[in-house]
Order: sequence, then C-alpha cells, then structure tokens
Amino acid sequence: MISTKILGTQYTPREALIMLLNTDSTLDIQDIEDVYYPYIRMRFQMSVGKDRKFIKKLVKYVDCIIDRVSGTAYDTVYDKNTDSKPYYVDAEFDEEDALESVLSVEQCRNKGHDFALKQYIGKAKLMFTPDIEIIEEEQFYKKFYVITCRDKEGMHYFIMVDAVDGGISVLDHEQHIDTLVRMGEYDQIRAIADGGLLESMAEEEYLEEEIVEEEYPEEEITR
Amino acid sequence: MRVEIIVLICYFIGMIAMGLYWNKKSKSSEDYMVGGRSMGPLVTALTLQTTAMSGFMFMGGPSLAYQFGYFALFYAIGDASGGLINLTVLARRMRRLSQLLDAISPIEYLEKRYQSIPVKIIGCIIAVFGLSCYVLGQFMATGKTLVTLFGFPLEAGLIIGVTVILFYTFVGGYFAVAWTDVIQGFIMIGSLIVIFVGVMFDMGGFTGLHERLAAIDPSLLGFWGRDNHYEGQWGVIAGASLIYMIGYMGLPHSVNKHMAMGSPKKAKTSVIYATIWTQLFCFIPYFLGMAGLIYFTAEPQNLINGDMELVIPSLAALKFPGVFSGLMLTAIMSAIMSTVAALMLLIATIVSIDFYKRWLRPDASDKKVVFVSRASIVCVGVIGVIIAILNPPGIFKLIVDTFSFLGAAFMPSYICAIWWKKANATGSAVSMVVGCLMAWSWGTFNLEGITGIHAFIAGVVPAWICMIIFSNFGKPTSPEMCDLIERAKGKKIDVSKQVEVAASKQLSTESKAITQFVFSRKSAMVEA
Repeated sequence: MISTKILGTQYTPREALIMLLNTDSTLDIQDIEDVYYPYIRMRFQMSVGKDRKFIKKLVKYVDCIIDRVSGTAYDTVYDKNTDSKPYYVDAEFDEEDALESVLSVEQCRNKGHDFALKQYIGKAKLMFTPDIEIIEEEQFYKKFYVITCRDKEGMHYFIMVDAVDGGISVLDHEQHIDTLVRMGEYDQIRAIADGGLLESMAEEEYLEEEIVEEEYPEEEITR
Repeated sequence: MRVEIIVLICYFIGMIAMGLYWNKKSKSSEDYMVGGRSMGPLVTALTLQTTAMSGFMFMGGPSLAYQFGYFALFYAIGDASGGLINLTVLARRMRRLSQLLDAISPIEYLEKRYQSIPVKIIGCIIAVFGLSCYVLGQFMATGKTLVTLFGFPLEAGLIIGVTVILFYTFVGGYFAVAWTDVIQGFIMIGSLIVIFVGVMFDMGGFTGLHERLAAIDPSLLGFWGRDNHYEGQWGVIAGASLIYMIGYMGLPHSVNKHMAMGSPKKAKTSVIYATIWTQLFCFIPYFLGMAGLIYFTAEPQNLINGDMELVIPSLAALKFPGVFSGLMLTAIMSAIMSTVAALMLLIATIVSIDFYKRWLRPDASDKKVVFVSRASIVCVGVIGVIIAILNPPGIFKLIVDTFSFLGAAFMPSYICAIWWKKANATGSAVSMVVGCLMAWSWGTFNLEGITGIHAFIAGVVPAWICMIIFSNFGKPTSPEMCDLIERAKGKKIDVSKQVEVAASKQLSTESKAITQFVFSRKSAMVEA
C-alpha cells in the first residue's frame, strides 16, 4: 500500500460519470477504476536584487509541477481562495493502482530549474540573472478515473477523467486492440460487459448495473 | 498636442511611481510569474486580450478599411475565425493526432508527425522570421505614434520609440505590479469603446455609416473594395480570409501545459470572456477606419500628416481632443509596448533556450543563457530599426505579408499530417521553404496588384505542389506513424464524437502514460 497525499478531488466517481453523461447521454458505461499519477511540485524563488542596493527586495516566484513519468513541466493555476497553495488530502491506495515514477527527484529538480529559468527569460522583463533556489518541494499523486465504455458494435474503449478538474481524454486503446484480441483479452472484456466480473468488484465500490439502478436512479442522472 | 504629451508622460510616471511605491511598501516585492493568486476570470480575460492588441489593431487594420471600405472586413473575419475553427468537429482528427503525439504547439506537432529534426529547425526559423517581421510592424507603429505626438521625423521617432521599448523590456519588471496590466487593459479597451460609441452615435449608427459611405462611393460597401479595385480577384479574397486562420499556426507560442489546482470553472469562464473580447475587437478598428474616411474626406486637414494609418488617433483628436486624445495615444503606446515586449522575450526564449542551451551549450550557466537572451533582444531591436529607417514598410502590408508567408509555409504540412499518410519529412521541408519564399517574394515585389493573386495564395499553391511531389523522395512515413494516423481517425472503434471534441489537450501526456499502464495491467491479468 502507498500512503501519501493526493490533490483534493473536485469530482467523485459519480460526478465524473454524470459529467460524462452530460457530455454524451448515449454513452454505454461499463466500468470505472482509479489510477494514481505521480508528480512533484516545486516553488522556486528567483532573487534578483541580492547585493544590489535599490532592488534587494525584488523577488519573483515560479511554481511548477513535474510529471514524474514523462518529465513534462506544468505551470499551475490556483483558485484565488486557496492562497496560492494546492489542496491536498491524505490517501492510501494499492501500488498496483499507481504509475511508477520514472524520474528521480534530482532529475525533476533540474527540469524544474530549466522551467523556472525559461519563465524568467520569457516573462520577468528584468536585466539581471537571478539566483534560483527551491523553497518548497512536495511529492504528490493525482487521481484519474478510467472509465470503460462500449460502442455500438460492443467494442470497448476507455475514457480518462481528471478527478481534480474534470478534464477528459480518450485513451489510445486502438493501439492495443490487436494485442488484446491475440491474447484473448477481448473475449474476457465481453464477459465483464455481460456482468460476470462486475459482481466480484462490487465490494471495492466499483460501479455495476444493480448498484447504478439502486443508487443512481434514472431521474437523478441528468441526461 | 501639448495636452496629449502631458497625459502620456503622466501615465508613464504614474505606472513607474505605482511600481516603486509597491516595492517600497511591501516587505518583499513578491510576484508570481507563474502560479500565484488568480485575479478572477474577467480580469484574466482582459489581460489576455490586451496582449493580443497591438499596433496593427490601432493602425494597420483601420488604414485598409479607410482605403477600401467593407473589403477590409475579410481580414477581420479570418482573425475572428482563427480561434473558433479549433472548436469545430473539422479539427477533431487534427486534435486527436496532437493528443496521440503529445504535442502542445504547432511546431512540436510537425516535428513529431514528420519525425524530423530538420522540419522542426526549418519551422522554427520561419516562425522566428515571422515573429521578427511582426515586431518590425510594431516598431513602425511606435515611430508613427511619436511622430503624431512630437512632430519628430520618422527616423527619430523610430530610434526613440524602440529605445523606450527596449528599456521597458529590460526593466519593466522592476516597476510591474499585478494591477499594471489591468489598468493598461482598461485604458486600451475603454478608449477604443468610447471612440467607437461616440463616432457611431455621431453617424447615426450603422445605417448612417452606410449612407455616408455610399455617398462617397457606393463601391465602399461592396465585396470588391473601393472602385471595385479587387473585382474578380477571388484569390485576393480567399487569401485575406485565410491568412489569419492559418497564419496563426505559424507564430510560435510560448505554450506551457497547465495544471489546475482548484475549480476548473473559472479557467473555462476566462476563455469564454477572452473569446467574446476577441470577437468584438476584431471588427471595431475596421469600422473606425471607415468612419475616419467619412470624417476626413470632408475635412482632410484633420487627418494627421495625411497618413491613413493614423486614422484612429486623428479621430480621437477630432472627437475628444485634449485628455481623452492623450489617453488614446497612451493606449496605443501601451498596446505596442506590451505586444513587442512579449514578442521579443519570446524570441529571446527561443534563441537562448531552444537553440543555445538545448543545441549548442547544454551545460551553459544561467548567467550565459540570460546574457544570450538579452543580447538577442538588442540585436532584434537594432536590426529592426535599421530596416525600418532604410525601407519603411506600411504596417498593414507588413503584417499581412507576414501572416501570408506563415500561412503558406505551414498549411500543407499541417493538413497533410493527418489527411495524407504518405506526406513525409522531405515533402514538408520543401513545401515550407517554397511556400514561405514565394509568399514573401510576392509581397515584397508587390505582385498582387499585377496578378490579382494574394501573396498567401501565391505561396500556398506551390507549397502544396511541392508537398505532393517531394513526398515521393526521402524516407517514407514509418509504419508506426501510419498506424498512429489511422488511430487518430478513430475508424476501428466508434468513440463518442462529443467526448472527442471535449477532450483536453492538456492531458495528452498523462493519457499516453495511463494507456500504457492500463493495458500492461490488463495483459498481466490475462497472463496470470
């Protein structure tokens, strides 16, 4: 088990499904599972005015988040009510539900440093080279939902939903269809769709048809 | 003009004083360059819009409307449509391929699709050249504004104006506070709206505007421009409509991936506000140009220096002389300075980070990288002033020519990336070079007037031909890329169209990694 902090989610599984159904009411949803993605957040202090009498107080900050799987750098958009701090909650989940970090912390720091320097060059409108140091560093995970859907032919595809901001993306399932068919997985996916394996997953709060009808009656789900 | 000069000077002193006061008062001059407190969707949208407003909006566009009437709106239509086209289902396949390639900018999209560093380098060079031309256009607008105010010769106006811009680019950060952009934005947008409302009220609305234009020359209300100048020249009209739609793809963007830490609703609201602002402000300057034609046909002595590109400052001086006219000129200077500073810093980032640090000196220190970035800004400024003094171009023509060659260079490569699997790096590289050179030459030697063909069309047609011919040479598209293109078409599985349109580009990296993770897990389950 991994005990760590994750970004506070705005969307529960139910809300994620409702949001998807609001996007397309004809979606044939089969399953939902949680996946956790590792990141590291760093706050860089760019001190421009050190040893310079008239501008010694001039300091710029750059926040960045590094994706620990691909090394991509993100800037952040905070809600104005959160006082420039992300909102974390403590969480525990299986290691199997989390992607493995590929980049080390040191590699992430180097990427963050380059990102901060690029922001400085591109935005600061300042002459002098800053002293760059990390003043905050936090490792965290972000939760995504992976939702299995079925098209009209009964073929499965997968939609990923960001549990924090509700962003969606369709997974590149077509790359793996041939592999899955060769391995016989496709037949097993049909079994899942027919309700077989879903019953065994009910204890883990995964969605199944009976639970859907009982807890989310049609009139409550906006179509 | 004395009042206007006083207003301009007071404005700049006020901005500097506000920054100095804030720096002195606060314990530390904390400023988040990225991250930090959001200022709300309306203000965010306002600052987004003000960075888009430039000398072209205040000078170049209105001058074309002054000359040719309603014909000028073809350019506005292209400008307004450029952002909207990405929201349509037509762009679905392109967007899907962008996601599968995990490419957030157009140049990155081309590099990854054609699997070619030379394509990226050629694309970057064309994009930086386009950026530099755009900056040159803003320098001209600065020079003309100072000519309006002080009566300098253009050369002196250019040198002083560019010096002020460079000063702002290097030291603006020492005086900036969060509200500087907001105040500038309100002045820019507010002054434009006040002039527009005042002028249209005077005219009697659009009905009055049309009647008076018709009284001067009915052809001003027509398709083909004044005296039917462009009659039958569909190539020019097509080019005018398309250059901004396509040309924007060629301008390099300093694009970051964003991660929202809170409610997504505000971010989406900002985009909606920004879209509304953009749609509105694409058209207003052109209508002001037409209104200026009406006023200054009757009283030509009121058009400053007889220069069509000064139609909006002339309207401000005529209708609202004194303080408001000064504010209008302040707005123009602010718009130009903020746009040019942003563009020059973008060039600096590309040169220092993408070329110098990434390619030439990966172990360069921060100090060297910053030095290279600042040196590149000075070079752009000096070269730009020299070119502007030796051969002063018209603002409108310069900007249109720039977007023409950007659009001609990138359109075939961008469209063939998803629609033609055979399109390869050789075809893309040759089509970009030929498209750019043809469009640029067409504009430089003024061949549009002789041939009736817009520079964009003159560039894009040969670019397409080169893409088709030269894709038969060089390394063919790899089987993996062909498979990716097929997957982007989404033929094997009928994914919800609404979901695909709503998919977020920001999640392409996670999507790729989670796809691998999910299917590895499924494979492991099956094997077990």
